[in-house]
Amino acid sequence: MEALMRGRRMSPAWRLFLFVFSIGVALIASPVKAANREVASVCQPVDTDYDNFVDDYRTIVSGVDSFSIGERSSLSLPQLPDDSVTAVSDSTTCNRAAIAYGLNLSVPDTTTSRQLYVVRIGPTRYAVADPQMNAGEFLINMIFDSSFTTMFAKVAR
Amino acid sequence: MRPASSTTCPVGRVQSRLLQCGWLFIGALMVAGAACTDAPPTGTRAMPLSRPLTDVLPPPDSTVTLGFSNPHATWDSSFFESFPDTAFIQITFSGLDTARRYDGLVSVYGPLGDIRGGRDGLRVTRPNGTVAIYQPFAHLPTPDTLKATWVDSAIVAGTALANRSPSAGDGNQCLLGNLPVPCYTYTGKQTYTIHYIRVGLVVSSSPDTVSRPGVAAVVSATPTYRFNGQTVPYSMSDWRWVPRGLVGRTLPCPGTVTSCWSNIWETGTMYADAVVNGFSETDSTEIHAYCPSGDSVLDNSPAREAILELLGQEWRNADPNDSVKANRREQAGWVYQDPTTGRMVPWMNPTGGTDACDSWPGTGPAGLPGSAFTYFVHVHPFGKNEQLPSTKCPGRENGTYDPSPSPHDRSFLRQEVHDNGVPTSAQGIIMDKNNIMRFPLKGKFVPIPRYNSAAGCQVI
Repeated sequence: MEALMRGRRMSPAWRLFLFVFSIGVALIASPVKAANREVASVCQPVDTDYDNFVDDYRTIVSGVDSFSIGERSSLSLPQLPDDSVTAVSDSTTCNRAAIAYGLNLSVPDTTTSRQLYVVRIGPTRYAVADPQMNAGEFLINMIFDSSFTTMFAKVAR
Repeated sequence: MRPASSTTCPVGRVQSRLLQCGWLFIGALMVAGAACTDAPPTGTRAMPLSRPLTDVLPPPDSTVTLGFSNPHATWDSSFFESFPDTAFIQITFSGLDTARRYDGLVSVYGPLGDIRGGRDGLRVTRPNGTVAIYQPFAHLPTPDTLKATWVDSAIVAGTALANRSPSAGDGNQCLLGNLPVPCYTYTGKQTYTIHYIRVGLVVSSSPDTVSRPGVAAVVSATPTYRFNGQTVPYSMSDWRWVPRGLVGRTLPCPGTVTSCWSNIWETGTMYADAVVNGFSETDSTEIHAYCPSGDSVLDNSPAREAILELLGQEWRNADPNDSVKANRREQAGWVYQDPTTGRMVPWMNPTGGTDACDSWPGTGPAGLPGSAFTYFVHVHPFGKNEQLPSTKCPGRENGTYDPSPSPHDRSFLRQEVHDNGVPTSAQGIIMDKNNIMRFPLKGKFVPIPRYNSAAGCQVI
């Protein structure tokens, strides 16, 4: 492109065309890319299964029995009241969760689209599971920090 | 278990006829110890499979046939069998011509156990250290009582000889020495057969439920059958204690004692192995020790015992301690309420467990309405943080086990309620190596440690 320009000066009309074309491509490409991300990974719609998934983490997080204390310790979860544990329906968070989840699979995979259970546990933790990623009857659960940069635990439950 | 009745033995007739005949030798044998006795057991409690220990005692069956070409044969005997250890045997004397009179005799010489008989009119005596089991067949008064086969049983030791009774003469007038005796003539062949009588073993506990964990119970093992009040010969091989949930600290009886005091710390089963009359036998008894779970819902449930029983059955069938984790198998079933009795009944699906990480509780016993099923019960044969096997845990990813009801467990219960009429009050029960988990149709699950540290006892 530089050689071409050096050899022959572009007319103002040609430059205007290129400018408009570039802007157009940028405007068209941007929403397509965003749309693709949303299709790739979204949150599971909340249903009874999702509710039960959340309830199980509520059991662990709020319990004062030895079982819950042990689970919190091994999963690096804080002790919190029940209402600190909520299902996430925000697609941005689910997308970030999906990427982190995919990166930590035995064979990393961030390209497969997923519908995830994402549970926010207080301000510092997320529990994530893909209903399609199972070992027998168990789902692979991962516990992340709030930025999805650190995985604290990966368990089948 | 004892047989319901025993066969009448014509003692008086036999003895009087013997004296009349002047058979001094046999008469002496008779007088000493004849008695009508119990028949061999015709039915005993269900027993586990056993195999005869033929290297301990002679083979269970042995036969000797006495054949005579001389129809007026006299006293004859043949070596029959050795009993180096006391044995409980059945003797069959067969091949008799019911038109004739015979007399048969099995003599057992040597150290004696309790020797009695009499089931079929055979007599057993023990004068001077010699024992005879024989059939005073000739002395029966009427030919129509003659039989082709006679059977009797006894506890014996020593060496056995098979005989037919002494006879002499030409069939019309017979003498034994100078004494006239009935004439016995023989045709064909007569056969004696010995069978070792199989007697089961029964293990019992008193009490069968201890008042609290750690209290002792008396546990004993004995043959299921006593012959004429005498114990059938047996020797203990081993004792084993199997806790209901495979975890506990109760000790079995030591060594080869036949009974002991044992402190029962958790519900479980005491097994005993013994050689009873040459056969290897096993029996067991369940002994209960109540330990509160700490979960008031479970402890107050009328289904508590059925739930724990089913969990134990599933757990033992799951091989949860197999070091090859792919060999472990989830097991599943139901606790249902019997519509007739109202009792809570455990039911394990016998074909529901083939995978380490999956199971199928089945539909329960046929003919029950869905409303009868109150608890969906299964086991996860793993402990917290155990690596799941890569095979027999079919799925797309591997991981370490973390205790909880799985989403599939939850959805299965919900589906049963929706599709099959299981009541909405039904609950799921799961057990793994450390915990029981109870979960409702919807809501939080309740973890229940298998060991109640507050009470200091093993729930299961």
